[in-house]
Amino acid sequence: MKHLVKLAAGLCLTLVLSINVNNSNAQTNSGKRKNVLYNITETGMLYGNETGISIKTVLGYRFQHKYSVGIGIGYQHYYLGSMLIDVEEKQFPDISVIPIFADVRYDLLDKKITPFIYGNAGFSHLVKMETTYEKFKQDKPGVVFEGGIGQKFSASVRRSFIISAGYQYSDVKGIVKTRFEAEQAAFDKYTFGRITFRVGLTL
Amino acid sequence: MNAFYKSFLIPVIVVMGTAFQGCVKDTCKRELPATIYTAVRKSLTDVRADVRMVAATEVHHPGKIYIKGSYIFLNELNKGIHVFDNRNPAAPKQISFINIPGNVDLAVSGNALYADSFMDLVVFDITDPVNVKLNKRVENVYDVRYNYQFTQVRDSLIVDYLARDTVYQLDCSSIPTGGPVMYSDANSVTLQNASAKSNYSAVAKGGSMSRFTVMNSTLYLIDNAEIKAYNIQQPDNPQFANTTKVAFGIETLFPYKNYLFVGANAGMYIMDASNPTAPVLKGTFSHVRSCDPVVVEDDKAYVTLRSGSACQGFTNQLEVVDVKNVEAPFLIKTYPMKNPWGLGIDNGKLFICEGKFGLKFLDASNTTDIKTVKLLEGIETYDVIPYNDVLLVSAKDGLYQYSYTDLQKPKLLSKIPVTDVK
Repeated sequence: MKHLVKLAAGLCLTLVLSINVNNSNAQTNSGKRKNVLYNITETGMLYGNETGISIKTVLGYRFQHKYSVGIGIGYQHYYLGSMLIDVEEKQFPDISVIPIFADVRYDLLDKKITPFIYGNAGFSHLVKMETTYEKFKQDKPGVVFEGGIGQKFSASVRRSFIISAGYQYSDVKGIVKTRFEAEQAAFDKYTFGRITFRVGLTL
Repeated sequence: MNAFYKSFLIPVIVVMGTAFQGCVKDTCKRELPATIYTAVRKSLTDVRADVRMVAATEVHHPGKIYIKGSYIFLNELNKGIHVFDNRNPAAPKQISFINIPGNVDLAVSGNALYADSFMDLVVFDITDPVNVKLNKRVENVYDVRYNYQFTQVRDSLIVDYLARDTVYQLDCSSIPTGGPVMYSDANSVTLQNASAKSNYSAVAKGGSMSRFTVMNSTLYLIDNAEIKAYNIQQPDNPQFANTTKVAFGIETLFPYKNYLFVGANAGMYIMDASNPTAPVLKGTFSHVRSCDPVVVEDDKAYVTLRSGSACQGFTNQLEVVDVKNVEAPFLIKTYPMKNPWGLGIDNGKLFICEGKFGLKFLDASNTTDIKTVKLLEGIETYDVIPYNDVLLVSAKDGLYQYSYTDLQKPKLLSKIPVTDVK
């Protein structure tokens, strides 16, 4: 139920934003666009078995008006779903990762208001993973893939407001030991599928 | 087209996001490496017929050690005894292997070598170490120790285990407990115990971790909570004399004067063996539950307490106990240690194996102020025998010999390597 409420809140937010922007922006030719360095900073929600948060920033270069590539870094925090560990809720693992990724984007229109598609691919570094009865240590980087669509509302060559939605796959791989059997080790691979909703600014 | 984007893109985003709801499942897969041991059974007749001299072979899982003159007898856990000519400690020579299925303990008296073989006691004539001869088998010495290795009709028993590595694919909700060793045979408790001991190579010579010892023409051996005495006035024909119940958890025997110092995981027991075949409990020194080999010199007992799952304790220390009055032993001083295993003492020179933390050489001439003179790091040590200024050290990767004439500068004389196998 909590999950549905959060999902509904996210949807409402994106709808409100889209209505406001649609009402205030007329389609404008943006022929003045040129190749530029840019920065995108986005924040948003990750919807899955449990809701998470995400923030990321990308330093990129836009060329040929529509294409842009960049590299980014972020921070994501998950709670794992109850389907993973059938124990008391307080024992659910609590995971934070720092993804480092490549970012590619393509604007579908050469307009101030334009839809775009994007994709990310990279690796993630585990910052924190806690359960009450196990020790987990990352033994190699996880992977992160994300793809989605969005809409960009440009105010100038660099400045714009963007909203997007997509799907993200990520994993975390590591060695797990119980707190009582220090010598005993197993290898775990967690995979997460998340719907992403983000808002952000480009500068 | 643009109108389409403007009007419908955001609803499309929302719809697509909702459509992906089916892909938001989290998963977790756990891989648990394990070794599966499959029991190898042999008939009792074949097991008993399998005791014989064979060619020298590599050392794989060294067990307890006994020194007899210039010869070293080294147990290969559950397999038999390696014989080394150690007349030159700088270059020991392996001369033969005595195949003894189920062998763990050994002791030497005169020209007789005593060894266990599963539930039996076997006696060898080692007058010529190159040509050891089986003289006697005393059947069913151990009442309980190997009962669960027999088949129900007691016509065969487990003599070995075949190891196979595997990786279990599990759900992450399964907590990885119980160790990485899986047995495919329900009657596998004995090897599990033996495997736990296989990591240390207990040195005998009445040494700190021996379960066999000889004193006053009597062979003493530990069988669960009992000490059994065998009269060996006729060395090649041991005669059962008596059983003395002591306590559960007794682990080691050390003879000193006419006493047996019995190391147990709850304390040290002092048995008066003035009547060799009927030792009686004289004194007890209790301590926290732990593994605790003991050696004695000049009425001072040196006991190491070690933590670990097999020992059930959380203490790592050396205790020095005054045992002049065996009926009232008292603690002189405690010294903190890291992970002490076996120990040895020779004329105030104390040697303590610290497991993976190395080997300590200590000056124990003053028991209230024992000082570490030298710490040898880089070897994982389990037990020692000091003899004639030569220290025999059993370690994970081999059997080392050091000269300790100068305690501050021990000199490596030789190393008998251990070949690691499953």
